[in-house]
Amino acid sequence: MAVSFPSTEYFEALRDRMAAEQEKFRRLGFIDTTFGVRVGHNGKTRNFVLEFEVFELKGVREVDAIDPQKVDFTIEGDAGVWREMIENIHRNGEADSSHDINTLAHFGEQLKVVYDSPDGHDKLYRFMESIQRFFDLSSKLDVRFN
Amino acid sequence: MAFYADKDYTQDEASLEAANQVMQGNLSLHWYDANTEKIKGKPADLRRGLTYQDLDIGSYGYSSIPEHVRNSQSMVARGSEKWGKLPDMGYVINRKSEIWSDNVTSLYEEDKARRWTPAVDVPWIELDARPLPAELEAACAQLYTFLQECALVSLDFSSRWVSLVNQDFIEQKSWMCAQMLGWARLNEAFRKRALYGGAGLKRASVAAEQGLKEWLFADTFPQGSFSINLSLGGFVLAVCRQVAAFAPSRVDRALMGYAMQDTARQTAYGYGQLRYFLQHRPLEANAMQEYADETEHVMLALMGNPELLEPLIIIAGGGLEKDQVRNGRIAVSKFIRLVAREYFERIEAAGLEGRSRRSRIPALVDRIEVPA
Repeated sequence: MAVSFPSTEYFEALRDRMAAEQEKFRRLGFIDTTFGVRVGHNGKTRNFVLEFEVFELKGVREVDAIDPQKVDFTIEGDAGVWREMIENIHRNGEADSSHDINTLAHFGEQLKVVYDSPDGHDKLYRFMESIQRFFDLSSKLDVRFN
Repeated sequence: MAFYADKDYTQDEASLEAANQVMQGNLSLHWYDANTEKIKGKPADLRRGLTYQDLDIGSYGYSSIPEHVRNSQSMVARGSEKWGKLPDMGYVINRKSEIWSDNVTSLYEEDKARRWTPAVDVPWIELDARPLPAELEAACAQLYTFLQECALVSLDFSSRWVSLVNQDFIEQKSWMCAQMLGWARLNEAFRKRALYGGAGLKRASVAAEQGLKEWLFADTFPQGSFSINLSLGGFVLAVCRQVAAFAPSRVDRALMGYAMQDTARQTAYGYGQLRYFLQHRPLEANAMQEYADETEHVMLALMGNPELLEPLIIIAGGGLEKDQVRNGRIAVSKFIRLVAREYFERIEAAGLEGRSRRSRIPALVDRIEVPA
């Protein structure tokens, strides 16, 4: 069944895939971070908070606004950029180097990483392999775009 | 010999007789009722296993280490009973604020959980299937030559200090050993990448090495940690992100993906240590500002030296054609801005207020900027 992006159901579907492939995530090690995802579309934004603990996505919720004090960092970008990333993942099984989070967010020109604390920002890179692998699980979902 | 034990144990009849009595079955059990706390450790989360955080209990816990460690100069494990003539190890770091960061134990556990193996986790053979053009491979060889210099000096920094840190800081010393192993792993990965590509190693960087030696031999641990863990760590992290973003091969992307995780942990410790130090020793902020005034020029020796800039330009541009070099220069100019911005963000958030206004770096970065 198709899940729509952006939505809580999309992240919950990734969470279920992550649990099903836990051995791969165990090999990458603990992932302890809470971060935001902000998707802009036609002047509006949808905001999600993802809470990772040990080897799993412990919780995901949609919020009206992301409190920067309660997340390590937020990845934000237009729906078109997110869509391009997810479609690239779907085509290749994983994001290629032009479409992974590090590249898209590197100079803040496509995706942007915003944060209150540099320590929170650095967690993106401390857990990058797990975070990218999490989004790469989109390759196993049928995603439709709102 | 720098130290002689209090006696020659081969000549000590009392020691031999004590061993003989035990082996005859006359156990003394003088250790059995040691004057120590009885506790039972328990994992807070079975998925994580038993961590140092789980054992932060009572007299065994790191939370109870005081700012000044006054009565513990031997190699005794924290919490055990001290008796007899234990040797004075001559530790020179005996203040918690000089070394500690609140994230030490979590970084140590994270480091072990997220370890990787360059020999098998990098898909080396993809370079055989898709070899890089000669100029790109040469640029990679130069880049990874430079990165080895950074990794080796970082390894030396932890090893220079670890034996001087009071043994009560067990978790801290364990983290410093993990740092050494982490930098050794990065050096291994950088070296293997350079040599696997077939171009060999290239030239050392005089500017980088002169500057890094200045940082390595900082007079105090907080100063050196500010330079090596925070400044160099953050810089190498940015290089890893840059090369991953413009990765010429899947090998480079995979390697830099792992490397950015390792260097981000070093940076997180450097940030946490500077913050802890300044929170507990606010009067030291001026001295740290003056230290930065003197040594911050090394940032420019690192990010401005041709042995790094040129390979980064070729990698970001994709080659040596005029347009490629132009695109590469623009990308590297953005990289330099990113390094400088994040450097000041970290140290100002850690407590060195106004550093970016006081520093010479922003004006110098302006001078080497390439307009987009």
